[in-house]
Amino acid sequence: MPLEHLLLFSFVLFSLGCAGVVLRKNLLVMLMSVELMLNAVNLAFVGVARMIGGHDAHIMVMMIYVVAAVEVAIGMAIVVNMFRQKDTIDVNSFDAMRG
Amino acid sequence: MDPTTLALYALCLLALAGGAGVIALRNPVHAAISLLFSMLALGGAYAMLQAHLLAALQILIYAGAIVILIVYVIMLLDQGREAGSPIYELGVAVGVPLALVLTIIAAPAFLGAEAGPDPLITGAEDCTNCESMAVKVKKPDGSEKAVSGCEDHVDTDGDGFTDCNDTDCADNTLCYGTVRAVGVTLLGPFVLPFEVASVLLLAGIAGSILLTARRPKKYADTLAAPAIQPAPGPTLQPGGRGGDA
Repeated sequence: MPLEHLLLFSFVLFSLGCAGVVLRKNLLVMLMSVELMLNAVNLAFVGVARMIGGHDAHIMVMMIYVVAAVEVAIGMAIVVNMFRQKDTIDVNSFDAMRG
Repeated sequence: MDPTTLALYALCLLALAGGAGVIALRNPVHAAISLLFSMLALGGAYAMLQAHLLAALQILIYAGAIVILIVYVIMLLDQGREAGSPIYELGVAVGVPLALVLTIIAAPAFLGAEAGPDPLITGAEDCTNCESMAVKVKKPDGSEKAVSGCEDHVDTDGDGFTDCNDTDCADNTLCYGTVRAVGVTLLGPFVLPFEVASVLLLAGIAGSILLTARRPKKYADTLAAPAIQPAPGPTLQPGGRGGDA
């Protein structure tokens, strides 16, 4: 597999995640889409590391794992709090800061 | 096409299918299962790319922890199916043409790959990998020692280091991407990010506890959050959460 094809896969996966964040109304699905984007970046990192050698990119991927885990933990806590306030997690319900 | 390349294509396509399922399926539980498939397929793709440790971590952390946490929250909230259309019609109307234009712009860069030796399968010279990840460590007597992923190799040229110059280091796949090789890099040049990550994890623990803990009534009033009802009973005493009373 040429590196370009792997980067294309990564690009499409990132686009899918981006589309999920923009299009979906469910807050949980939006968070899942953010995870998709992080994983697309990880795939690109691992592919490039395989081509040029060295393990720096692997360390970067592990740091992304840490950030993703913390992000999910905090994000889920926020989602639970929002659900307690409005009994829904449809993002359309949360317009208190609309100008 | 050799089996590794074939498996890599198949796993990447599976990951894309899972990703499409995440944004297309209406039921959040189905979306989470789709995300799980995507994560597992990516773990397999990492294994095909010789990132063995990352493949294991991908399955342990993403498939085993993050997706399960998401499923727990879905079950906890039990908000049912989304009312009406699950997506924004305006977003589709604007986003799809924009995505098409971007794809047309970006496609030549990706599809211009010429056939030839497969860089992702043949990869970098593994002995170069051994050398590039070697870290010089000072021993107590002042001398320097190179620590790499190849300690179990033999120092064939007698220069004191087991490195790429040793003929014994030819079986490079043992070096690249293994737990030992990545661990030497992580705890060598990248030990500071490794330690900072622990602070981030601590902040995550503290933040998630503070955000989800039910507050005593006097804090609930200040938040102007009418839906937060303090649980009755003697367990909640004002100022009982030590430190912030």
